[in-house]
Amino acid sequence: MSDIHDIETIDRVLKGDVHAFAEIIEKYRDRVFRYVYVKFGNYDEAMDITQEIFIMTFESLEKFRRESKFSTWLYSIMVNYGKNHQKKANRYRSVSIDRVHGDDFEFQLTDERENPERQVVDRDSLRIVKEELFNLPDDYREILVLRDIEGLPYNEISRILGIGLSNVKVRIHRGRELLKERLQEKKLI
Amino acid sequence: MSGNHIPFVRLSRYHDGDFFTLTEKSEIERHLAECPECRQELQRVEKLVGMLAGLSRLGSGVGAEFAEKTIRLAEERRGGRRRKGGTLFRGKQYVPAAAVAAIVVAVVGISIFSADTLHNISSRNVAAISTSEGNSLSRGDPVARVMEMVRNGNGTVLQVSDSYIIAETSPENLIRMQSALGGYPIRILGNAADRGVVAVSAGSSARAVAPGAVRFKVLLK
Ligand SMILES: [Zn+2]
Repeated sequence: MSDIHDIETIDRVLKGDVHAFAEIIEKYRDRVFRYVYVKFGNYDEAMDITQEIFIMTFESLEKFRRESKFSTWLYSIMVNYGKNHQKKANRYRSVSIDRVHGDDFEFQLTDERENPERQVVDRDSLRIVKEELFNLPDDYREILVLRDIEGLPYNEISRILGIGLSNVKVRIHRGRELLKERLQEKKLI
Repeated sequence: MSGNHIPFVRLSRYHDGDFFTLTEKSEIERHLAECPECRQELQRVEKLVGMLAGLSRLGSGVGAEFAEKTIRLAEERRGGRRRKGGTLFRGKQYVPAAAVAAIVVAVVGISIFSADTLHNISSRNVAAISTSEGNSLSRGDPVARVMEMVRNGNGTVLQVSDSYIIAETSPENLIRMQSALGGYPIRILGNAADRGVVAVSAGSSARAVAPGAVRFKVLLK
């Protein structure tokens, strides 16, 4: 899990062992996917973008200056790629994003065993939380993924999103408030 | 603060252990001790955060092959960029098999594309037949092979039917495919980006076509 381990892996990749990059992908794949999926709301598209983000990370690996944690750097690439993709997608308005999902890929059983304390939230509730999260404005949706799903600290979120700490806090707490109101209407909270 | 309840946003900060001063902390705690409503609101914060944490069970559902494929693509692009001296042809690579059948094409705008460009590509096709990959596509399932070649060349498969496949790829890759395709005729349909065509899978948002991509149809029968 540690950043030291990431750095070691990256060193191997940079020395020519490109397949070591699989370790990085495996470790961060679902985290990147979650961010992108919550942002764009479509599984296929999220998988495409997730792949592009890892390719871009692989291509820029030499530029990683090690001034921040590797994960922070990777997440910054993720956020920027997402922003650019959104701009492009907005130019083609022909098809609306379908945010209705019921697929079983979504909640994985393996994780439930690893995190027994999380089982207190049942699947049906999670689906509702997910839908309501999808319905929040972009900025709030994005920041709640980073803070409450991925559990990142305020200062790391500030670096990843390139916004000030006070702005980070405003968005997190306001986002939670909006979500709470919606979940209260659904009698879920 | 007495008389007034603690606003949600402040309780949310308190939950995260983020308060302005220690005085503020003890103020909040004093109020919570005597106000069941605010205690309930704090419980809502806790429950909300717990439920969001539960969404970390959301997963991509893909296995180790995703990493391998991604690395292969990255390497291919790196190689392709070197050959082309700095320009990188970008396109869509990852199409889950189940989604392919649902892929549709949306035309958002039509403009005249350069017939010259297309003519050049067509005539280059004829000249560029190489023997290295010759007829390799005739082995096995032609649909699978065409799709693999399109994706390996950073192209996009748009439509698949029993009798044809419509896809887009770079002119270079199209030439490679043409030579590998053996008996299957390829018809060039146009320069996709010039016609403002976007490829979309069912229910997804539109994706832009890579600049310079050529749309073509492979006739399977
Ligand atoms: Zn109160």
